[in-house]
Amino acid sequence: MPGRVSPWMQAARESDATPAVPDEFLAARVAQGDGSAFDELVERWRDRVVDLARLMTGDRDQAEDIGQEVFFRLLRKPEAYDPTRPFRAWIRAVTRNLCLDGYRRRAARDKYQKRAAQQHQFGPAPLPSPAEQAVLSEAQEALRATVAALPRKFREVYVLCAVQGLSYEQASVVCGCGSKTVSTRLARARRKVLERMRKWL
Amino acid sequence: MNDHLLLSLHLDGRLAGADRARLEERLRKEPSLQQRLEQLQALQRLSAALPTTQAAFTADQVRARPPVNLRGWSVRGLAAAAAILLLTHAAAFWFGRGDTPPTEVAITLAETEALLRRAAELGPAIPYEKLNGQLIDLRSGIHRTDLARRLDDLQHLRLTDSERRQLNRVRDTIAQLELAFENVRDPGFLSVVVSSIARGNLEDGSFPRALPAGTRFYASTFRLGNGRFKLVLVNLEGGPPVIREDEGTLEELRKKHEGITFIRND
Repeated sequence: MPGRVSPWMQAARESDATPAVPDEFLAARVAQGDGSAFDELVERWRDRVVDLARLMTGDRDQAEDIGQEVFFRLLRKPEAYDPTRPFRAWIRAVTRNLCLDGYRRRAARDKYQKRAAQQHQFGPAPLPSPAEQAVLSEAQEALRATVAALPRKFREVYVLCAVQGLSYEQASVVCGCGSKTVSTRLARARRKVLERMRKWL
Repeated sequence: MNDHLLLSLHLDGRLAGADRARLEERLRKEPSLQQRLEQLQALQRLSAALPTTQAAFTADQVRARPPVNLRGWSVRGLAAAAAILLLTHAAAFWFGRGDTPPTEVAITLAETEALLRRAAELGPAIPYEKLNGQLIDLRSGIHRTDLARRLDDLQHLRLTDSERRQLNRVRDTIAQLELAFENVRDPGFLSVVVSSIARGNLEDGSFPRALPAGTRFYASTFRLGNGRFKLVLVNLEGGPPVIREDEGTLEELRKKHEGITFIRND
């Protein structure tokens, strides 16, 4: 339950010598109904999950929704996670699958297209001060839009490797393909992104 | 191996030995290749520096999240709520006139007492304090989908297995009522049933008493006029919902159905 701390978690926090509690252990505790373990996992992973979903979908609101759904599934069906496998790969794979499932895809796409049309109609927003920061921010937004427009198989490896810093092997676990496939897809994704982002570099 | 793949692998530190030496040699000799590598490096810096999106939700919000099969109900839910509202008003008008007797089969005293006795033997009811905070805003006008969602939210509380089973039965019954809604022949009758779940048992906090010991039924009363009330019992024992009714003055009903809280839905 929120606000309640398990004895093991309390001990871990009070002891300086205690190493960080592994995600896998926390997930196993969630399966046993430990609310504080769930709180801790949400705290650790929510930003990364939402960030991944945002990069995959190109939509901030949808990413937030997917992020909640990822943890909701962990809460409702903790047995879906095999604690003998790395939690980080599992949670990214769930996030990726939700993004690819077309989860509320139509609504998000409509919203995104509407926003893009508005931006096209009214032009870019005025640059705030300092200008450099604004340019960087604009480049980042352009990059987000470019990545979101990539074909799915290129987008996911680009997000996982180039943005989130996963190795080829880690990304291959998330994507369910070989690491060699990851490397070739990443190279092609970089080429496509570079073509559209050249003016910002 | 094409140049794009070579540069990408080099960027990620995945080239070694002779492959790496060959590429470095080419980079020294081919300015265009060197320029492309620098662009890729700049792109990588930009990509890696993308600010991480800060999630706005909390663990508690995840706990309170309705399941996916109860989301996306907004349009259908609104339609259902509108239909129920209409039916409820129609039923209120019908019952309120007081000169038209209800057509449902009245439960017998013996059946009611047997049901109550059986329910009382099945163990403690859901503690009211566990439900009160969740149900306090379930007021008139609520429709069945909202109620189902609320009940589903309760799944996240630390309920005992028995309490959880009770809630599951309630939810199952609501689902069955939703199915029944498709084939209803007498809209007035259904509106009473739905209203009895959505309003009567929750409005005064009588939920645990109306779902006593094992939660085998819902109970609620409706004003018929001329001082008479209808008692509606919805059996929750699984399978199609069995709905029994009785009517009389409040005193008569209280005497016959001891243990049920009677509510005036005026």
